[in-house]
Amino acid sequence: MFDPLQLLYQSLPWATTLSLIALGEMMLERSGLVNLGLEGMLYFSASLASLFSLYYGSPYYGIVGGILGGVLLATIYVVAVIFLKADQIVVGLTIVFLGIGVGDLVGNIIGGLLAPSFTRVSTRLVFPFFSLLLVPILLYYILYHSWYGYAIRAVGEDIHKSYTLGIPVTKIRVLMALLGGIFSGIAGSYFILGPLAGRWTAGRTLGWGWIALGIVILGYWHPLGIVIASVILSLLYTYRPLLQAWGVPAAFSDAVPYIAVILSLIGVSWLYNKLGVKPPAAVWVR
Amino acid sequence: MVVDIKVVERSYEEYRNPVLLGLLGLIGGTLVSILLGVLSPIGLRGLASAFYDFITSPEYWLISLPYFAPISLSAAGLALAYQARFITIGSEGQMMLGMIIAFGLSYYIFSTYSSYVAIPIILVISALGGLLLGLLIGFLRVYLGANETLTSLMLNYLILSIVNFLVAGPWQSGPFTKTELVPYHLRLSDYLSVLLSIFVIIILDYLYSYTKIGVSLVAIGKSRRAAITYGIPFSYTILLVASLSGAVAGLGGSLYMLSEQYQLQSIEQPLGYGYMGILAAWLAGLRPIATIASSFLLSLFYSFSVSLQLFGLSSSFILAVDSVIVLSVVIATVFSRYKLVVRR
Repeated sequence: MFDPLQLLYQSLPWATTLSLIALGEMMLERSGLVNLGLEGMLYFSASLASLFSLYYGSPYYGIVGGILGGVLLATIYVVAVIFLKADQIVVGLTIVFLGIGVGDLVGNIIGGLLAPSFTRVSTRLVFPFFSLLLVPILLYYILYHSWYGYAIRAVGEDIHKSYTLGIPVTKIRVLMALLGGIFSGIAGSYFILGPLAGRWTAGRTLGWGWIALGIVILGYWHPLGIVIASVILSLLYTYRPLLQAWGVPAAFSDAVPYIAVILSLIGVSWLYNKLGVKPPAAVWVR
Repeated sequence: MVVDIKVVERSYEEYRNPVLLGLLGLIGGTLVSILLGVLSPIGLRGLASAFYDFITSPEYWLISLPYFAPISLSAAGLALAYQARFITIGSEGQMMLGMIIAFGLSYYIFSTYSSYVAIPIILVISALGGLLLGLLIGFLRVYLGANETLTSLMLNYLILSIVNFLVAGPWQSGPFTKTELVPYHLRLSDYLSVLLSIFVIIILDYLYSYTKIGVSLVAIGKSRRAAITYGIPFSYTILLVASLSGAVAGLGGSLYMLSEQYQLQSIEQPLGYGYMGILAAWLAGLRPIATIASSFLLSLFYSFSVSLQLFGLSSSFILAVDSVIVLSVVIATVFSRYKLVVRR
């Protein structure tokens, strides 16, 4: 009944989604900002992805729709936070609610129709390969072995010194915010057209964007750490039926990912404190 | 021709009145949010006329009264917390905990007691429940450094699962996943719950405006290091703010339970009053007394969304409208301190 490989196989789609969103957010946080709106971006892009996929009859157009949704909300963030200097926390939260509200409007238009979804191979193999292997390695290379990575990290750690060094701070932050939008857009379209097979139901992505925010911290703002954290959390998520078999009520086993995030966040924060490790990104230093 | 647009900070003499700008943003945001009606089944015209009818007729204002307590109390507590840069979003969970406690006490323990004894005890204990939950978040933040935004949010989902466990298990009554009703004599009128919440908000605003607590939380929010250097107790203030916001959110939940909801039901998604509280707090410019006005507006919108559901619009639509409005108010108030400079 308990087969580790089977478990890993089943958890792959969730890990793929989580790590994609978290990687995008990591790049933004490395450049010194935080976007709390991931949940809304995921929700809205998932709804647009299924609408596009339905309308054009191919899941690849769905990805286009998803990216469009993610970038649209990321643009709001860019304009409000980076250009107009509004508070990033409130803007992030409003993006969450805006994304969920407008996503449901789009969902109304879809009206429960089944959108064309990705093939089994791309759901279980291609996307996980990209999101859990290729993209993290690429981002690792960019962050630690290229001029752009040094620039991004410099902006995240000390904005004034970066200005003095002539690093284009605003340009980098805008790019990172849009990258976050693209990543969550792809994650949203994969989520709805991959593991959920194109069936839009209101409220289906609720929670994953928030968990991804936790994963960025658990993974210590490092591509590799984020991949590991998202694999572990999605394993826990797929573990739920087993918990129910042990007699844990269904209502509680559904909350397992959240409980896991709380506990591991407490543990990791305590550890960071104890070791005297400062978060690499200036955002969380308070 | 190249146009260079820059956002430049105003000098102190040039500061503009943030309240007037906020009102401008409010009007602008409302107009923009009506544009969202293009996507809705009733269309732009339908939504605009429904909006107008709703805002201008007093009988609808009365329908929105029950939502005022949970939204305004969450908002007022959060306004204090956000002033201290303690970014909790746990009021949703604290409110649900207040609802659980209020129902449990009123149905299972105090059902035979006189309402004059029972209701105050129920309200106090629910507030205590919210306080403990808030204190937990504050404790994790201050002593373990756990990010309060995330822990509070995850706790919301945990409380939600407790509600779903209770209504599908020990407290279930009948075939559906819901509980019995709160006994008649323990129910509150809407007016009383509104008055009580306004009273509590006035107390919070007093704390904010006229006491040392208010000064220290603003100081911590502006610059934590400077505040600590000047001898302001950081941990104490954060813990105080965390528990205060938790307590009032718990109270809001119990008021809502005793004046409107009367029973627990299974919850698929969070109810949203706590989240509306977040928006109301920012809409009020983080000033506790102003949350009375902003929460009144948002509870009006909430009851509007309930009636819009008849047209097939989901309740989350109004969250989108609210967030457009809050976003434009926040952006508008930015211009009290910054100005746009256009160079050709």
